Amino acid sequence: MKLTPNLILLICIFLVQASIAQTYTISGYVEDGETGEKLLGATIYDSKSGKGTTANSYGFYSITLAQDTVSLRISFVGFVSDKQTFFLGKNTTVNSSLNSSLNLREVEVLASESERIEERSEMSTINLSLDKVKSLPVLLGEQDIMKTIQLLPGVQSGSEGSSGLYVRGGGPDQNLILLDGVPVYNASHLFGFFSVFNADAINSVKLIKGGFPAHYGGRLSSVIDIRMKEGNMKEVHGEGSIGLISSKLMIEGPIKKDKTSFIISGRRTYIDILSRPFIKQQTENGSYGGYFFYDFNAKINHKFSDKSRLYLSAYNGKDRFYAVDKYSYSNDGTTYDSESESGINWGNTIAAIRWNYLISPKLFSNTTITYSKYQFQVGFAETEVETDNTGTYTGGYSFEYLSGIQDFSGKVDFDYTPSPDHYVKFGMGYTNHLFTPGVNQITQDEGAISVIDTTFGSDRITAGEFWGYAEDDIKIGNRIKINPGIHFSGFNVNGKTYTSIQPRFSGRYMINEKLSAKASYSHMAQYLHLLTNAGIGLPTDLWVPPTDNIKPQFSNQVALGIAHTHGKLFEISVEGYYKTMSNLIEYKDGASFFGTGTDWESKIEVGNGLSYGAELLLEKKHGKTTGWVGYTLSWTNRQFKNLNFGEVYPYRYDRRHDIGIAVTHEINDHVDIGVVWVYGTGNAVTLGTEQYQSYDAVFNGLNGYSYLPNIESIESRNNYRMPSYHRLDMGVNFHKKKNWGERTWSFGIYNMYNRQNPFYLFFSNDNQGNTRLTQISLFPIIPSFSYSFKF
Amino acid sequence: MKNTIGLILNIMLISGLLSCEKYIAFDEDAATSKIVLNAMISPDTSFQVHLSRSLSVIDAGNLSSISNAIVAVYDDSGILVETLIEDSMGYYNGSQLPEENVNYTIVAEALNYADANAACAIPMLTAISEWDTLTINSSPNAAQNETEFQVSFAFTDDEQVNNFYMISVLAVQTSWGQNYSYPLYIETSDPKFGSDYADKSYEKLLFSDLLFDGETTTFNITLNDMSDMSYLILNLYSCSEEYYLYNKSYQTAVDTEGNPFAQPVQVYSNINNGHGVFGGFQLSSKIIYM
Repeated sequence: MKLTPNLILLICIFLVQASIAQTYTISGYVEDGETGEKLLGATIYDSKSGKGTTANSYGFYSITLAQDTVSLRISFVGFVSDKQTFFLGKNTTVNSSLNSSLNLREVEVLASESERIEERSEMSTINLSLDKVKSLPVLLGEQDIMKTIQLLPGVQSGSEGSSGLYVRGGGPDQNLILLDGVPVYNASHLFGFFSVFNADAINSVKLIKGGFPAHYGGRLSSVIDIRMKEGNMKEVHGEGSIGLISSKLMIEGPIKKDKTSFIISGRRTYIDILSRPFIKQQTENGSYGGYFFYDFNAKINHKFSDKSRLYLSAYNGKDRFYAVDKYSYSNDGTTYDSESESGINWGNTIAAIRWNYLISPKLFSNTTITYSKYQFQVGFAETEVETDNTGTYTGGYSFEYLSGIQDFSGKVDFDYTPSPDHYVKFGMGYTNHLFTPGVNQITQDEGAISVIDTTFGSDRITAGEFWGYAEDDIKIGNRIKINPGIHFSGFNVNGKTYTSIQPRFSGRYMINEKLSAKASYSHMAQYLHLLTNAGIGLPTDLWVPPTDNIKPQFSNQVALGIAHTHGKLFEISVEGYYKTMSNLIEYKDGASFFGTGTDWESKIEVGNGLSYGAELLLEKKHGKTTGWVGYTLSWTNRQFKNLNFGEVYPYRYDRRHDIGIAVTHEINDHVDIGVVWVYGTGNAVTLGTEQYQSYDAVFNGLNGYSYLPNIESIESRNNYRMPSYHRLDMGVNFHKKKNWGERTWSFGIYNMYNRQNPFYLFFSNDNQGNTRLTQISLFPIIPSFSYSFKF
Repeated sequence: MKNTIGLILNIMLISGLLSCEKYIAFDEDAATSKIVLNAMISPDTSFQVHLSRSLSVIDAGNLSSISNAIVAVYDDSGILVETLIEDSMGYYNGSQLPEENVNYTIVAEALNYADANAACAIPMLTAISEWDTLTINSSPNAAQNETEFQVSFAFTDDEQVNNFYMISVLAVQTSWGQNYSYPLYIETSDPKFGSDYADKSYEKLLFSDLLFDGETTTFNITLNDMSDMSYLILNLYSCSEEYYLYNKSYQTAVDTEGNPFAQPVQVYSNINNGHGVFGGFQLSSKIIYM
């Protein structure tokens, strides 16, 4: 009992301290005041306590501060900051609507008001400006997110004109391309010359090349997180464009003001429609053919309350080559009519339902159900009609080849912010994959009777992928911020289960106010392989699961770097990385991608990859002149036990030097110009360099009847370098306000100095019969124009 | 504006015609010719080597044989076994029979060429222990007048080393007292040959002991086109790794030659400072009378 007074004193001290440390949470959404569009990554900063946070992928933020007067500043690049001062005595909701700063003569929103590059714990991450995507010159005037990403350091483009991405030595299958959280398996139109994303419908694009936060998983080399716009909550708006090869239109607006909004957008090429009359004129019996692609995005966003929101989003895109051939003739009073149609179709279909629910001011949840399907189809069908005195007889046959992948997925993610020094994310999910590596279907009809109806090829394979993760963005004092995390995943296929525990870490140390050192480590697992031909992004590429012989892919990546904001305008980052990859697949020597639908395992080899290098990014985000200069110095190699006789060889896209410069300049309110210059070391290709007689040819001992060609000596896989790639593009946009909105004429020139860049090399004979190395180039200087409008 | 659009369309039309194919410099154009050394040795035959020259792949010159070269054979102690005598057309012959499991080195020296050398040993003989003709039938898959013939054979693999094998079958016809032989195409779905031979028929099946190391194993093959033959010769080659890698890769190169969609094929060579192959083998043959 003697201790009682002391105990009471201790309790009193604890209670006093507790009351002093009483905290409350400020939470809410940050949005564009004009459109209601959420501002992802907006910065919320209390200047009194020096604490801050950022809005998540849904524009939601939460910050817990001590009971006191707070001076809150909410800012986002390109918007005027919202400053609010109030006494925090209870949990408070602060929804902030920011107004665009674009109309201000003096740009007031500077890097100092948003979280600067050196302050962020993440590294190897770039948020792509949609304005840049729309203002930079591109091939045929088609704005393209993926092609703009190719200009960034650490990202290599594939072949000329292709929208494929090769990030830090990884393959095109190793990019997790997410559209509103749903994986997109084939992000290319027209063999990769255009990507499937319509920039008008996109709100934000984030590229992550390393230091992957634990909430991402499933691919080795990059995450491209694309978020669609949610639709204007205030009033109906639209924008569109008419270009050389396609036109597009986007309309958004409220269904119920400030409650429900919609956005729809569509794009279609029309070369086939324009050319059809000419083709019909040139052919007998009205035969015709053509190519088109289209894509369509739609989204509905409904706000039940400040705590609960629902999003429905969908995407459908398709490419189609088709040819219709008609033939008719008569003989002995019998008329024969036949019509055949052949075509190649491929495309993605994506749908997602997302429900955001605020469980408490500190705990935000997002529940998502998604569907993703990629399908490739080759078909041929012929019908024949025979008419004579006795009647009409019909018959026909068809062949169809199908391949693809289909996912149903569900996941739940939580954001928990117990204090300004912690930002915890955790969640889990499950995906059911259905692989169709290659199915053939043949039917034959004779009148109403089906004489053949058969399906053969690879079996459909069902697999389950599951994952869970937890990460915490932790601030330790004023100098250190770290993001440790763990991602666990597993894959079940054909009764076999693969699992992986993947530690993740990224962190920064503030050397001084404007300079930080950063480090990251990621272990990644990928339970999918892509059987792809070298280089060309053909839709025949097949997604296949791991098997008993072919294990999942894994990577380990370490990155070190520094980040600095120079003055208030320039962001500079320098990073070095070292990445190992295992269980990569490549075609065997002599293997052809034709017929890979069956027995694909016998055509491939399994091996490892290594990539290391350094990247420099100098970026100016504000002012009349904006843009970036990116430089990458890298080495990327592969080593397969049964390829290149086990020796290390360079990856096809091993590119020692890669430079991307993208600059726009606003001359005045009506005119802006854009310039892009790219340079890359030539791709590595496999070419025979010497020729000699074979053993069989000189001895002819074992089999005298064989054809015995000379041997072309190939020193190593990918032994020969194509000439380097470089290109200058320029564009100018003329804007004009109209009564109904704004119109823009855009003129561009792709490959300004008409550089004949290499696309493909082969040997051929010239007029004198000499063997010469021959280069095919795709795109010479190509001017383009488009007309776009906003209302 | 109309004039501007018209001008742009005209420029586009012109530029479309410029998209091109052109000849470019080939960095290996000036590649120096190297010695091409080809030799396969077995205990039944004395050393024989053929020398020729390599050329740049764009050189239209002759891949001529090399004369007046010095070709010497050394054993694994570095002792000269013999210097080969030039015969004609690039052939250099010896008089001694090579022995199994001796690591021989061949060194070729010729004026204007860098010295080339290669090493190889003849593996131990693995003999066919059993063989049988399982069935003879007129398969619906076989062409008219052809018979499908199934052969099984067995041998015991040596557990101690990595072994490589090659199977070939010769059909022998007798006409006017003369024997004429020609290789038969072999089909198999036997997984022990590996997955490479699942779909097509080949004159030679090359395989390693990866799937039957140290075991006595029976193999099954199918032969077609058995018309008018007197007997078959079933050959089992016990190959050195060099022999196996060369034949395997050359077979693939021949098989895919001219296919623009096929991956390029590297043909194996173990010649230092040159091209070609130096391998060793031993042959076990069985005659199967029809």
